Amino acid sequence: MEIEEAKKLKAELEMEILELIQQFTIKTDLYVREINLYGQLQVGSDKKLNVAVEVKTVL
Amino acid sequence: MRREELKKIKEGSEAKILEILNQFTVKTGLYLKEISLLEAPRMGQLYSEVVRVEIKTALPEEVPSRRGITTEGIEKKEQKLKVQGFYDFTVVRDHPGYIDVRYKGESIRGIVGANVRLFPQDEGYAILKLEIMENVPLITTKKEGLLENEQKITNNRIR
Repeated sequence: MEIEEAKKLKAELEMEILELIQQFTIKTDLYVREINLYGQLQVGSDKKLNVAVEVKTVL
Repeated sequence: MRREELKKIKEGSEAKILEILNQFTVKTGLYLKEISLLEAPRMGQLYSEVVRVEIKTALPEEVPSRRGITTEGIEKKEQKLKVQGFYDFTVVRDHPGYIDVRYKGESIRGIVGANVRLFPQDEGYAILKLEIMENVPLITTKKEGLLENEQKITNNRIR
């Protein structure tokens, strides 16, 4: 994959996450303060089995 | 909104984020290192006005250590430890997001929310039943240093 294409996908991903946290705030009236990735990424493994996402919120 | 409802929405959001991160990795071959919100949202402002999301990526060969979690001394034993269901563990050490436990003489590192779930007992004090979710790989460690605070940590507050 070319760098330009990866950059485009990355920008799209950032927008998707922004959209998700906006929806979260609309539903809950809570603001998202922080998003953390926990866990270890391992080459060749199924990422979702090794990584947890935690969303921290603030009133 | 009730706490249970909030919790459900929060977990749903986390799952969605994880899903789109997985899709990104599949498409690009890049792994995610970090997601940062660059500016703090304030009451009455739209996210799109004040918040930028930045994602840092890593190539597969850069992946092994991140966020203070190191693979040094850690051995993965997917086949040997086929545990599933509810088990009593001794907590060796807890960390934000993951936990080291001892099960049948093996030291295991579980990723909270990914392959283990904590069941708090009275008043937020945890342990110490962990649910090992499905047949997911567990990371085990033989690093003896992890066991040094075993008793001390057992009744510590996890969250």
